[in-house]
Amino acid sequence: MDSNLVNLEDRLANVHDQPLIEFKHVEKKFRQMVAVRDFNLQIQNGEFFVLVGPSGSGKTTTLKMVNRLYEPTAGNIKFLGKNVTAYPINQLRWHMGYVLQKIALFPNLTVAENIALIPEMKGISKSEITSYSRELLKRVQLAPDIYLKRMPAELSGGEAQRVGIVRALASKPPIMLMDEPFSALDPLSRTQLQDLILDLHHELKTTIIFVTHDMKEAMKLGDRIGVMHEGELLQTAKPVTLATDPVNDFVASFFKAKDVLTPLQYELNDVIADNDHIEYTATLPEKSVKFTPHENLNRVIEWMTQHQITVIYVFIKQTHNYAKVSTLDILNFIVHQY
Amino acid sequence: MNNIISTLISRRSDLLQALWQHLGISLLSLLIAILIAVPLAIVVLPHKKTANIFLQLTSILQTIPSLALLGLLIPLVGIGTVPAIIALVVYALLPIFQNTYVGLTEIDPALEEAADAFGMSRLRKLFKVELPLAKPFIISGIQTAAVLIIGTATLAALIGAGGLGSFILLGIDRNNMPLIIIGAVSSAALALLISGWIFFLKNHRARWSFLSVALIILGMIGAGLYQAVKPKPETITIAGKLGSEPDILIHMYADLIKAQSPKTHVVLKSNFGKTSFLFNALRNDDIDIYPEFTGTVLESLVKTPKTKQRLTAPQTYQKARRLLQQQFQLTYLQPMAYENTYALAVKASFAKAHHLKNISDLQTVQSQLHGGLTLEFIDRDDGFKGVKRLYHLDFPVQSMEPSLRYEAIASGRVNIVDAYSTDSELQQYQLLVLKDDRHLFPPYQGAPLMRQDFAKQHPEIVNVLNKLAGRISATDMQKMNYQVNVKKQSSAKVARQYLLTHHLLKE
Ligand SMILES: Nc1ncnc2c1ncn2[C@@H]1O[C@H](COP(=O)(O)OP(=O)(O)O)[C@@H](O)[C@H]1O
Ligand SMILES: [Mg+2]
Repeated sequence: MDSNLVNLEDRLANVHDQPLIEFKHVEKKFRQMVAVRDFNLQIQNGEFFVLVGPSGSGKTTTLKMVNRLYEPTAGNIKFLGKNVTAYPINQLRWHMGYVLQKIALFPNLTVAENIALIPEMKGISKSEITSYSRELLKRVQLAPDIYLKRMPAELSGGEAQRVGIVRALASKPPIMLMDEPFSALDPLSRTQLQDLILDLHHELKTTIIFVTHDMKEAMKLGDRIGVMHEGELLQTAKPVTLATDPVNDFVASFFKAKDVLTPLQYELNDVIADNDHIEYTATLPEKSVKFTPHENLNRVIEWMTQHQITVIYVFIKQTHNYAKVSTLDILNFIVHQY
Repeated sequence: MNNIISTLISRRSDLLQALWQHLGISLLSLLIAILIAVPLAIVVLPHKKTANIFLQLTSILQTIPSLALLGLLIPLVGIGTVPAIIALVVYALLPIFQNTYVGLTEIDPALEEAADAFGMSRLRKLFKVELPLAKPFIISGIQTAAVLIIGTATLAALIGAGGLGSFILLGIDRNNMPLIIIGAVSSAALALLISGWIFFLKNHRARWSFLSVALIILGMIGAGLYQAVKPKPETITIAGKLGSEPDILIHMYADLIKAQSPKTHVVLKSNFGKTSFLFNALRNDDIDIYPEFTGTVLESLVKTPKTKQRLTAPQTYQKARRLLQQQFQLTYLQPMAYENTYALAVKASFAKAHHLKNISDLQTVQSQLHGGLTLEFIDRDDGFKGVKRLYHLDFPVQSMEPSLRYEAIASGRVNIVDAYSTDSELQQYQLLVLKDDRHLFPPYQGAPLMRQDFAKQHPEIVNVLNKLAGRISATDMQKMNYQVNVKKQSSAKVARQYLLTHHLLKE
C-alpha cells in the first residue's frame, strides 16, 4: 500500500470492511496530566460520529491527534489501516477538513481565497476551484457573486461559519473534523447550520467526527455518540441506546443535564399526540402509576428515573381510558423535537 | 526669506544632488535593515529567550549616540558611504525587529492552528498568513525606522557621505542661516514624504509593496552596476574642508592636474568635513589630496612638544613638513603665499586717517578704540590676551558672533574687529588688516597634503601642484572668497579665472 494518498478514491471504495479511523489504546499526557487515557474507537466510512462530554474531558485533544496537531504519548491512530504517522503530514491534513469553534477565517484573505487555500495546495485548477466554491456557497445559501469577494470581517457569525464549512469541504476531504463549530452561534443560526451539516453529510457521504459539549446537539446529529469524561471514553452507542442504557451514572446524569431537558417544557399530552403507536387500555393494571395529561414531562422523567419505573399510564378524559407510555416513547418524542 | 529663495536658486543643483544622495543612503540603509531585521524576527520567533536577547541587543545598539557610532566605525571601515550606511542600519534595526516580532507573536493562535491543520508548509504559512497579518505592525516599524534614518542621515555629511547634512554643516560653518534652513527643511520634508509613501503602501495590497520595493532595488542595482562597469581611468580624489576657500583651492588643483594629464579622472569632494576627519580619510586612502594649514598641523595633527618659541611662517612649515613625514609618512608640498590667520582689522578710512599699518600703530589711538571680538578670540592666548601682553594694548571690547562683528564695524558701533585674514567680508566692508609686526598670531599657510606613496607614484602631480607654491596673496584669496560668497560665482569659475590671469594655465 502506498502512503501518498494518491489513489484515495479507490481505497475509500474498498474500506467497507475496515474502519476509516481507528484509535488503539491512545493516550495523551501534557506533562504529568493525562488528558486522554486508553482511548479505543473505530469510526466507519460515512459515519457521523459525535464526541460529547463536559469541557476539559479531552474531546479537542482527541480530535487534534487525528490530524496530528497533537501526537499521542502512547498507542496509535490508524487512517485507512495505516498509522497516521506513515503519511506525509501535510497531505494527510489536506484530506481532513477542519472546522473550529473560532472559525478562524484568515482576515487578510477574501472568502474566495480562504476557500481556495487547500485545493490550491492540492494542485486543483483555478477554474475547478472557482466552480466548486460557487456550488458549495450556493449549497450553504450564500450567493456566490456577493460573498466570494467579501472579506471575513464583513460576515456575520453564522455566515462566517458557513464559509468555514465550505472551506473545509472545498478539497472534497473524505473526513471532516469539527470542534464545537456551532457553540458560539446564536440559537437560530445553530439550528440552521445543524440541519445544513446533516444534509451535506447525507449528500456527500463525508465521514464526520464532531465534537460538542451539548448532548442535545449530539443527539440530533450523531449516528453514534461517544461520551467522554476526564479523558476516558465511557460509552459509545446510538443516541437512543445511550439514553435507555447508560453505562454508568455519569452518562445518565450527563444525558439529563439541563440543556437536554430544556425542551421538556412539554406535557405528557404532547408525547401521546405525537405517537401513532400508543396502546390504550380501559382498566389500569395492578400497581401501575397514573398521571394526568397535563403533567410536565420534566417532572415525569425525574419521577420515573427516581422510582426505576419504565411504564406509566395517562388518564384521557374524553375517551375515559388510559394511554400506556414507556420511557422509550418519551425518548423518541424528545429526539424528534430536536 | 528672499535670502533663502536666492540661496535655493543659486544652489539648486547642489541641493538636488544632496537630496539624491540623502535619499539613496536612507533607502539603501532602510532596505538592508529590513532584510536583516524581518528574517531575524521570523527566525527567532519560536525561541522566546533568543528573541529577548536580540530585543535587548538592538535596543542597546540604539542607545549609542550616532556621532560616537560614526566615530567608532571610521577606524574599522574608513569614511564615506559605507560607515554611514552601517550606522543607519544599526539604528533602524530595533524598530523593525521589534515590530515584526510583536506583529508575529500577536497573531491569533486559532489562525496559526488553522493554517497548520490545513496542511500549509512553513513557508506558505509565513507568506500567506503570518506576514500579511503582521504587516501593519511591520510597516509601522519600517515607518519609524525611515523617519529615524532620514533624520540621522544628516550626520552622514560629517564622515563624507554627503547628503542634506552637508548643507547644514556648511551653513553652521559659514554662519549662513538660509543653508541651514534649506538643509533642515529638505530633510524634514523628505522624512514626511517617505513616511507618507510607506503609509500608502500600508493601505494597499501586498502586490504594490512588492512592486515599489522591487523598483527601488532594481534602480539601485542598476545604478550600482553602472558605477561598476563604467570604465574607470586612474582616479584621484581631492577633498576640501567646509567653506569656499578650500573649495576654490581644490578646483585649482583639479584644473592643474587635468591640464598636465588630461586622461586622469579627478573626483572633487567639496565641503567634505572637518580637519580630523579629512586627515583620517587621507591616511585611510579614502582621499588622495587635501589642502591643510601649517598652523593646524602643529596645533592639532602632529605630536609636538610645547615651546614658548615663536616660529616664523617658513619655520612653521618646515616643522610641520618634518613631523608629518616622520609621524604619518605624509608628504606636505610647498605652501602658498597667503596666511589665513587671526588678524585685527579696522575700516580702511579709519586706518588712513590715523596712519595705521601695523598693530603696534594702534598705541596712538588706543583711547578711541572699541572692539567687537569673537568669544574665541577674546579667550585665546594667541588672541586678545596676547594682544594685551605683547602690544601693551587695552581697550573696551564686546563679544559677538562672527558674522555680527562685520555688521557692527560697518555700522560704526565698534571700530576694530578680529578676522581671518582671508575672509571675504574684509573686502566686502572695505576693512584693512593690520600687520602683526610682533608675530603674535601663529602663521597659517595652506599647502597640499598627500600620502608619501602617492607622491612617489605621481611626481608629475607633485610638480604641477608646486606651481602654486608662493602664489595667491591674502588679497587674492579675499577677492576670490568674496566672488564666491557674496557674488555667488561658482568656485570652479573663480579658481579657473585665477589660474588663467596668473598664467598658471593656458586657455
Ligand atoms: N496544549 C495543552 N497543554 C496543556 N494542557 C492541555 C493542552 N490542551 C489541553 N490541555 C488539557 O487537557 C485537558 C483536556 O482538554 P481538551 O481536550 O481541550 O478538553 P475539551 O475539548 O473536552 O474541553 C484539559 O485539562 C486541558 O487543560
Ligand atoms: Mg474543546
